Amino acid sequence: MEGLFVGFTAITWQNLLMMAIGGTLIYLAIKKEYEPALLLPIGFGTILVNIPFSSVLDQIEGGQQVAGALSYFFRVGILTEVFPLLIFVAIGAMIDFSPLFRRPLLLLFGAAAQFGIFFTMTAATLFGFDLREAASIGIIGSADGPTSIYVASRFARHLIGPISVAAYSYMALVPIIQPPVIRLLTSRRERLMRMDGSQKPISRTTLILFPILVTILTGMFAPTATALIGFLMFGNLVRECGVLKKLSLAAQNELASLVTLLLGITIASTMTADRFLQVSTLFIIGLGLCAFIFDTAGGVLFAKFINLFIKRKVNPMIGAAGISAFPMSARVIHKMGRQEDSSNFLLMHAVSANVSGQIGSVLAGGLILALVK
Amino acid sequence: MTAATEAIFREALEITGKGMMALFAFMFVFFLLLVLLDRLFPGRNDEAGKQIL
Repeated sequence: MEGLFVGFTAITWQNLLMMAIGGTLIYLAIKKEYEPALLLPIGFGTILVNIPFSSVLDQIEGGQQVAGALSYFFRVGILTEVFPLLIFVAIGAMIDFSPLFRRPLLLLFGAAAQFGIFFTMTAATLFGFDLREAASIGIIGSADGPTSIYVASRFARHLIGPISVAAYSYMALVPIIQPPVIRLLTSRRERLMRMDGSQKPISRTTLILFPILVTILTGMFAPTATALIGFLMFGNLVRECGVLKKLSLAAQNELASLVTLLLGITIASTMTADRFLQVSTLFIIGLGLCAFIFDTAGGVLFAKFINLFIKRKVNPMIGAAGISAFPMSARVIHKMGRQEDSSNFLLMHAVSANVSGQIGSVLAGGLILALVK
Repeated sequence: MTAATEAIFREALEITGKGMMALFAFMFVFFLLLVLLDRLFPGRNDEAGKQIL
C-alpha cells in the first residue's frame, strides 16, 4: 500500500510551483489564446514531469534505468535537431516569397530587426552567462521558436526550457510589446506615411529558383546555417514547384501540427523544478523581452535611416515587421497604420518585411552557430 | 566587472559587429538575387501569377 502514496510523500513545494506554472501556461493557451499549439503542450508536459517519479522521464528502477517517453523524445527529437528542422519544412511550405519580389528592398529589414538577438547576447554576458549561454538567450530575439530551440540545443541544453517558454510567450505578446516601442520611436507624421503597392506578376521559374539559390549561397558562405536555411527552403520548394500540392498541404497542416505537438510536450521534459526554478530563469525571461524590444527598435530605426537615401519612402513602422513572428507582426503594423489613418493599407508591405524576417531569423541562428565557439 | 566577464563581453561585442555585418551582407546578396531573377524571368500577366495573401 505504501507504494500507492509515494507521489504524495515525495512531492515538494517546488514540484507544486512548477505544476502551477504549467497550469498558468495552459490557462494562457486556452483563455488568452497565446500560442496555444505550443504553450498548451508545454504546460501539460510541465505538470507531467513534475509528478514525483513520473514514468514520462527516465527513472532508475531496481538498479536499472527505465526509459521515459519524454526523455526519449528529447533525445531523438531535440538533441538530434530533427523536430525543429521538420518545423522549418512546414514553415517553408507556408511562406509566399512573391510579395518580396515586388519590393526587394524590404528584404534588408529582415536583417535590421535581428538586432535584438545580438544586443541581448552581449547584455547577457554582463549577467554572468558564458558566451554560449548568452547566444542561446539572445536568439530568443529571432522571434522564431524552432531557431531558438535549435541553437539552445547546441549551446545550452540546460536552458532549453526557459528559453522556449520565453520565445513562444513573447511571440504571442507581439501585439502588446511592439506598439509602444514603435510609438516611442516614430512621430505621427511618420506613422501616417503611405506606401505605393505593386501587383506585378512573379514568374513560377523565379519562385522555384529562389529557394534553391538561397540554399546554395548560404551553404557555401555559412555551412553551419545549411540545415536551418536548407530545410526552410526545401519546404518552400515543395510549395512552389506546383507538382507536389498534396505534400505541400500536408507539410503546412499535418506535419506542422504533429511536430508542433511533439516539440511542445518534449520541451516540457526540461521543465523540471530543479532545472527551471533558478535565478537564471528570471534573467532569461527579462532578457527575452529586451531582445524583442531591441528587434523592434532596430527595424524602425533602420527604416528611418534608409529613408534618408531612397525616393520611395518606407513607413518606419514597416521596419518593426522585420521580425520573424509571422503573420502577427505584419498584422500589428497594419492595424497601427489604420488606427492613424483608416484608409492607409500597409499590410502588403508589412507582410514582405515579415517574410524577410523569417529568412533573417534563420540566417541569424546559423551565423550565431558559426561565430560563437 | 571582473576581467573574465569583461573578456566575454568584448567577445560578444565583436560577434555582434561581425554578425550584423554578415547578416546585412547575406540579405544584400539575396536582394540582388531577387532583382536578378525577376529581370531574367519576368512574370507575365497570363502566367499563374501569385496573389498577395
